[in-house]
Amino acid sequence: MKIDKLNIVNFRRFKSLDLSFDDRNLIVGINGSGKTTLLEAIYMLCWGKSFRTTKDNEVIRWEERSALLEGEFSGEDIYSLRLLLSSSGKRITLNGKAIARANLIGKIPVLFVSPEELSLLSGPPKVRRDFLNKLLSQLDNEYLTKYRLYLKLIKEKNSALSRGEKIGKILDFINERLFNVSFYIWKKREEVLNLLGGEEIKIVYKPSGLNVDLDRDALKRVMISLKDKEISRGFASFGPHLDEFDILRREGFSFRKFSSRGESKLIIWRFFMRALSLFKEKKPILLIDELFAELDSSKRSMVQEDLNGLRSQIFITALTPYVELKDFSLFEVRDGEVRRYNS
Amino acid sequence: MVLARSLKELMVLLSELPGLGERSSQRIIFHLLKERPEKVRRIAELIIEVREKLKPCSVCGALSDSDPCGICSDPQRDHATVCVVEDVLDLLSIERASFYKGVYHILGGLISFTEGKGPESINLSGLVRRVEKGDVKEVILALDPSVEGDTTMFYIVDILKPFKVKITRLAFGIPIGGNVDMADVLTLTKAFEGRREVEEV
Repeated sequence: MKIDKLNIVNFRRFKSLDLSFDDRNLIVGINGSGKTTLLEAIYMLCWGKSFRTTKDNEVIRWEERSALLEGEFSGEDIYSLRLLLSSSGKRITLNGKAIARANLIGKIPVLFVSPEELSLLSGPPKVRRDFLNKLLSQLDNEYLTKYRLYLKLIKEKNSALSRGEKIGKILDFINERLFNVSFYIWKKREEVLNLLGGEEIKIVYKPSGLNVDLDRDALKRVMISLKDKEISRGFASFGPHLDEFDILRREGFSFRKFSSRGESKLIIWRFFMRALSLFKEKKPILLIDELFAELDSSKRSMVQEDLNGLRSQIFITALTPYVELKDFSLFEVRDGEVRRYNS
Repeated sequence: MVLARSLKELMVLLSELPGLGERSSQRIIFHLLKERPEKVRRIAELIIEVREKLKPCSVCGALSDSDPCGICSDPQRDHATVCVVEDVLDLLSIERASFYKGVYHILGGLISFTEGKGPESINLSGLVRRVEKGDVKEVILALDPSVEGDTTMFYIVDILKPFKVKITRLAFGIPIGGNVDMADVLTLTKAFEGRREVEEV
């Protein structure tokens, strides 16, 4: 999919913008000029939430009451999408019809790559789980439905456990349903992680944080064996919310040691390229924030080669227009305005 | 303009009701102000009456001005079939369809630990007592197909296990007049699981 037009009103520093984009777009500007905010606006339209904040209203321009994003999308489908944020909440309208966020996700897949993504290598497991959830939710609508059901069930289970009374029987009822949903999530995650590993990286998956194979009976036994512990501790100690997966060098070592920032960035880039290749039907819009900084020219040309082979629409932000990106349509962000240069 | 204190208070109280916001409660109030005084008085009286006079039926738990309630004391109805529902609203929609000839049991809620409601918070002992007597042949569970509805359903099945009573649940699937292509994944899965042979016309 591809965004052809973007209309922004009262979104962070931007008062009003009307932009049209091409397949390859380079956004330059000094630090703090609002380059990333442009990516954020596109991301928020496609994903329904910002990558910077969990508080939607934070993006509303200072002293304004609402923010509006409107986009025209084309490609496998044609969409006119509108996202309105105000004190009464978030309203998403697709082709003139109000829709829930859950029904938006996956319509226009989007991937956001930034230096922050280095935390996929070194950060806590939650970072990687969140990444996986975002990826799978966009790839497969069933995953999103099941994952939401899972969250509800696990919340119910934790509430039941925190009562600390005799809940053995009820715990069984909840566990039974949880297990089926969990197993689905585990299978899907394993499937995708197998595809994300490659010649450079090895991924070690630990369902529920355990060194076990994804075997229905074995996992069920683990669940049953943990029941008493869960009752005494008062919270769930088993399930996909405790999943871990490590991204390692092919030889099985961590990337945390022995690698420069530039090298790590390239690894993450390759990881995202593999993630991108998983999308068979609709190609995601690729938003790349400040990737080129800290990459030397040889690594930049490697990235450039990867970019050349992509069918996705691409947005890249940078401090300066790198020569490797000379084919890109150039936009400059300055003082809350965006100027487009015709090449 | 400064609003009269009573008007203001009424607006606030009304807007706290489910389904009503500030705007809609204002509309209701200004409509009532133009309405005939007798009618407004009657509305007010009836609100107080239903609140104070209606008591839960000692058999099924439905709010009624008689005990047992109209349905439970109706000899025309099939007292061997008990349909378990979450609340009176569910009873009303089944009654509206007027095909069901059995009686009801109102739980007054569902088990939801997230909301702090365990099995003790709903009317389960009443159900067990009715089944214990031995006159009930079938218990139909007409509960929402949700996390809470399912937990409640499994719990009821478990506590009724000692008694020889048939327990059924409502089918789920594509709503009549709905579209297969509009159904979500879970509904579709359930609809496939619950498929049945086409009956001959």
